[in-house]
Parts: sequence; C-alpha cells; structure tokens
Amino acid sequence: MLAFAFRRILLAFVTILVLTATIFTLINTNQNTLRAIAINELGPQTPAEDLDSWVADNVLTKPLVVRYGEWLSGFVVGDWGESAVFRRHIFGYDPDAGRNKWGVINERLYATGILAFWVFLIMVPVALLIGILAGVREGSLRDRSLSTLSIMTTATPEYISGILFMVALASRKYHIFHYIPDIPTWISTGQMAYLDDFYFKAVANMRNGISFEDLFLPVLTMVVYGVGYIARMTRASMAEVMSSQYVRTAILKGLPRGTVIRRHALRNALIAPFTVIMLQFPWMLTGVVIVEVMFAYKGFGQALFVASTNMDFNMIMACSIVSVLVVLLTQLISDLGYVLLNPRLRLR
Amino acid sequence: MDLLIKALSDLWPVWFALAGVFIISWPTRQYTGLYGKLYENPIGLLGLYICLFWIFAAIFAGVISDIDPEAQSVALRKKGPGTPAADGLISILGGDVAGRDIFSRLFYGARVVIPISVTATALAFVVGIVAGLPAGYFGRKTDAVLSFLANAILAFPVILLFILIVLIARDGPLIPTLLGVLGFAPVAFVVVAAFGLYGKAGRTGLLLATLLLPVAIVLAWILGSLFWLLGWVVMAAWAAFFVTRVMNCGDRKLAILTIVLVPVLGFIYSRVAFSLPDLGLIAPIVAGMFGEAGSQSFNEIEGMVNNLFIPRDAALNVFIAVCFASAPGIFRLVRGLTLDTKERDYVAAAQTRGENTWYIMIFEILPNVRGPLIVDAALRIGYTIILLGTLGFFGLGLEPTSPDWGTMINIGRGGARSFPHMVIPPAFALMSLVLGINMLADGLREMSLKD
Repeated sequence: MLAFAFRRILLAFVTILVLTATIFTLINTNQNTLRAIAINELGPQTPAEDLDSWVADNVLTKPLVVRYGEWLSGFVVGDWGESAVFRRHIFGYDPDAGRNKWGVINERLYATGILAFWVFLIMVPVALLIGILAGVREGSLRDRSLSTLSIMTTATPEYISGILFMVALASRKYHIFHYIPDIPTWISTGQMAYLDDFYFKAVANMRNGISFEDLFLPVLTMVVYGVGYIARMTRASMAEVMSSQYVRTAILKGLPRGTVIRRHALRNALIAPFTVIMLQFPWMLTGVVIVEVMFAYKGFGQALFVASTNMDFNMIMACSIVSVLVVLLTQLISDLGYVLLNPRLRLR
Repeated sequence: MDLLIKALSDLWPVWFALAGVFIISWPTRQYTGLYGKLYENPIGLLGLYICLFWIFAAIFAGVISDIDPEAQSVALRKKGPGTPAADGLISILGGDVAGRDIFSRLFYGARVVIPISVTATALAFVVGIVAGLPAGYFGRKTDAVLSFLANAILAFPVILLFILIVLIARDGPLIPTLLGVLGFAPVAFVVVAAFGLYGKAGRTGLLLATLLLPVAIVLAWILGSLFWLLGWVVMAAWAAFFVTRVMNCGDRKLAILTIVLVPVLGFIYSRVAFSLPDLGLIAPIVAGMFGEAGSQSFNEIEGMVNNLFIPRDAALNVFIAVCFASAPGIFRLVRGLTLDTKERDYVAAAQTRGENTWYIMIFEILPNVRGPLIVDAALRIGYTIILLGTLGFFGLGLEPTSPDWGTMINIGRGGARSFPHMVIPPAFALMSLVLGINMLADGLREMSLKD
C-alpha cells in the first residue's frame, strides 16, 4: 500500500516535469507566442521588429535548458514570478505588495474553492439519491424517467444551460439575479490583448466578498451538467449490486426491503461512484473556466482563460501546474480510496 | 404558429427521408442484426431518429433554407423571428448580430458540426486502438511508456490543452507535424492488419519498408521545401528500398497486395497530413514542362481536389485539439479490454496455432471487444460535439463566419438577455443532437447486454 502510494507520487512528479518542460519549450520556441509575450510589455501597437528585438534581448538570452532550470528552481522555492496581465506577484503572501498582499493564484483559488465546495455539496447528494432511486428497481417507470432525466442533463453542457438560465432568470426585463455585465461578442484570440480592462471592470463588483447572487447561477449551471453522469454511474452500480447473490440471499432470508438496501446493497454500490466523484475534479476544471468566463466570476478558471489568451507566460505555467496537481492528486486519492473501500482489494 | 408550420413545411425533405428510412427498416428489422433490434427499444429508437434528423438536415441544408447563411442584411440585424427578409422571404428564426438568417445557419451548422465530430472521433479511435492493443497485449515496458503518455495528456486540463494548441499552433509547423504523427495511426493500422493476414513469418523487411513510407513522406516534405529535388531524392531512396524488399519477399500475393496498397496509403497519408496530393514535388516539374499555363491549371486541379476532402485550416486545429482530448481515454479503454481478453481460450488457441501477434490483436481480440467500443464511440461523438461547442464558445474554434453552433452561441451570448432568439436555437440544436446520440448509445448498450 505504502509502496504503491510512493510509486504513484513519484510518477506524478515525473508527469509534472514532463508537462511543464513541454509547455515551456512550445511557448519559447514559437514566434507567435514570443511576440504575444512581448506585446504584454510593449503594448499592442508595437511593430513586429521591435517585438522581435525585445524578445531577443529579454527572453532568448540563455539556452532553453538553462532558462527552464531557472524557472524550475524559482518555482520550487515559491517564487512564481510576476503576472504580466494582472501586474502583481502570482503566488504567496507579500507584506510589501500594497493593496493585494496575496498572490493572484491564492486569491483566485480561494474564490474557485468556494464555488467548487457548493457545487459538490449540492451535486453529490442529489446525484447519489437519483442514482440509488433509479437503480433499486431496474426497468421500472421511476428508473426510466430518472435515467432519461440524467441523460438529458449530461447532454446539456455548461455553456448551454448557463445561457438558458441567464435568459430565464437574469434577463434584462425580468431579472431575479443581479446585473451581470455583458461580455463583448467580439472576443477572439487576436483581440484578447485589449480585454484586460474589461475583465477588471466586469469582476469589480466582486471586490467585497462573494455573495449568494455571485454564486447561484454558476453553481446551478455546473450542478446541472455534472449531476447526470454521477447519477448514471450510481444507477449502474446499484443495479448490479441489487442483482447479486448476496442481496438475493438477504431478501430470501426475509429481511425487510429497507434493511437489505441500507445494510447490504448501499455500501457496496457506493464504491464505484466514489471513484467517479473524485474523477469529476478534472472535469470541474473545464467547467469552471466556462462558467467563470460566462458569469464573470473572479476565480481560477477566469484567470486561466485571461492569462492564456493573453500569453501571460508566468501565469500560464502557474495555472498549468495547479491544474495538473489537482488532477493527479484526485487520481491518487481515488485509487487509494478504491483500494481502502473495496474489501477484496484491501486483503492484498 | 404560422412560423412553426412554415418551419415544419420547409423541412419536408427531412421528413420524407425519415419516413423512407422507417418504411424500409420496419419490415426488415429481423434481418438487420443490431440495427434491427433497436426497433424494439423505444429510447434507442428515438435517439436514432434524432440523429438521423440532423444528418438529413445537414444533407438537405441547401433545400431547407432559402436564405443564404453567410449573407448579411441590415433588415435582419438582431431582429426577432418572423421578420421579412429581402426578396419577399421570411426569416423564420430572425437574424443575428451581423444580420444573418439564423434558421439557415442552423442547418448549415449541422453540415459543419457532424462531419468534423465524426471524423475527429474516428481518427481518435484509430489512434487509441493502435496504441491500446499493443499496450494491453505486450504489457511491461510498452504498456508503461504508452500509459505514461496517455495519463500525462489526461492529467492536462482539456481547456488549457485547447487554448495552447490553438494559440501555439497558429501558422506554425506544429499542426502538420502533429497531423503527421496522428495520421500515422490509420496507415499503421491498415498495414499491420494486412500483414497480420498474410505475413505469417519472415516478411518483416517488407513490413518495415511499408511502415517507413510515412517517414519518407515527412522527410521528403521537409527537405523538398528547401529544394524540390531533395524531396525526390528521399522518395527515390525509399522506393529503391521498397522495391528490393518486394523482390526478396518471395510471396507473390503479399507483393501484389503491398504494391496496390502503398500508393493508396501514401496518397491518403500525404493528403491527411499535409493537404497536398503531390508534396510539392510535381508542381515544379509541371511548371518546367508546360510553363505558366500548365502550372495554373495544375493549381486549379489541386484546389479542386483539396476542397473535396480536406477541412479548412481552422478546422484542422479543432481536429487536432479534439483528437488529443479523446485519444487517451480511448487508449485506456482499449488497453483495459485487451488485458481482459488476452487470457481467453480462443486467444490461447490462436497462439498455439502459431498465428502472428498482429493477427491475434486485430482479428481475434479487436472483433471480440467491439460491443463496448461501439457504445463508447457513440458517446464520444456526443462528447466531441460538446467539445466543438466549447471551442466555439471561447472563440478558439472555427472562423467567426462559420455557422457551427458553438460559434453561433459565442456570437449571440453577449446580447443573450436582450435578444434570446440568437442563442436559443443553436443551443437547442446542439442539445438535441447530443441527447439523441446519448439515447442511441444507451439503447445500443441495453441491446448488447441482452445478447
């Protein structure tokens, strides 16, 4: 068990090294991206020759390997550099930094953490309940309708349900929820450099903490897309357990149905959904970007989007590492949890 | 209400086609295998007909919509459903921000969305199968390396992968290179399958020569872009190697098969990878022999061929991004299924007969795991459509004039709360197609479980 965990952690470190090295190389050997980095410093109207000479003087000063090593050593000691778009340090607590003492990543991860907390708090119980109710009696009318419902929610990605909720609940005429600034329709990657200002204004209303109104639509949107998948997995697992030998034995012994479901079926049926729920975190990362961009929620996903469309190099590296860490950590927890929860694997 | 009737009557070719399919399929359902069994499953059947609706809508898009989907008119700008357009036509769903008719864009959008999602999923599947079979079958180091790669790509959040691929790959050499790498998978699959059937033993030389074809094409393309004669040298060297292998192979049937197969594969590979039929090698000769007029007509022919089966540049980026996002998952599925199947008796029997490894993988294992693969393929197409929409939503996908649904949603979402008619139709189109595909997959799964 310990050896297994150790091996997995070692592999995770290798993965992070390989991935960061790949991104680092790709960005640093491509003229487009290097120019985009230069634009962040020199402004959008700078001619291409000036951009290239800036790149030659400031970026391409040492061999690629040396620069990667420097970045890596800085990263390990917690010096993640300055963000070109957000104009402040990326990670950690800096008492001399004026108004924003915490780094961008710290602040944004906190906001996204709150969002994710509410999403999971609502999504997991609802999904498990739907799945169990549907799986207890396979093929019944209740099963059919709940299954169709969960298929429907998995067919509605965030960018669709979000817009439908926006139209229904926050339309300009009859809105229940507060005014979400319109996102310009002309967002395209070429024009992103001009957009920083817009985003700062759009999220300015979140300066004084995160309110119920900030959270309601994003949470609702993410829950709707995520709930169906977990519910379907739970249903499949529950249906399998209900048709197993030991459940049939328990029923034939004359135990009440409720006891059979609670004591014999449920525990075994919840092993598979646990893995699925843990693996929902990687999915969350994509969903969070869409939802945060759509509702102008000042979180990690929106920072990732703004940073990568503006080629904010340090921020892209920081965001990639954080997201890869989240994915690998959840994979590790799900694997270890699976071994712990499943009595047949625990004995080994 | 009038508009609804007009919309339904405009869709007449689709209704006729759907009715035709049903009239042919219903009486023959006992003889059409898995497809026929779908007619006993109401959910699967509904899903199938939703998918067919969109496929026919894509085919008949030109007949359904009478307004040009790309034409912009001031009369339609941001106007709601039922607005009269030019020439006495009526815009059934209104116009978007640029004054383009939403109803016609919806069906032309199906023409963009369906082919890209199906072909991208197919390529991802071939890549996943070509990597997953050996990983599961050989295990050990092959498995360790391939699994590490797949897990590394999976660990990377899809959205960041998309943004990076699209931003870094713009006009760089990355896209052709990646396509070259990914495009190698179908070639390898066909070649390996052919050799699995015919090459019992001692044919490795010819196998090597055939597998080297894509490598030679890539080399010829790179060197040929420096100086076109160098490209010819590479191709000639490969051809010489290939011919000696054919002479030495001592199996007439196999030799004929490869000689037929190789030009076809080479053509398909160079087209998929570089969207060039001639790798830039023929054009200079045509220009030398026939002068200006000759090369002009050559360019025209080449352009015509290119339009036939190569997606546009922006679509290629999307293609690569989607492939990267899906292939690792398919790899894991195929690997798991192979691990499970390779212990079966029929595989052991084939091993005892002395069948070659590729034959066992492709003709013993792969057909026996087709059930889960078909269901997964259906689900993946739905997921690919969602991914395409995600790309469009971020403005990273196809060009802004493209009528695909994700781009339409992106263009319309700015004013969604004032003009909901601009985003609701594409949203419902995408949702219904994905829902149909998911229901079809569910039906197929239930059917295959019953067997």
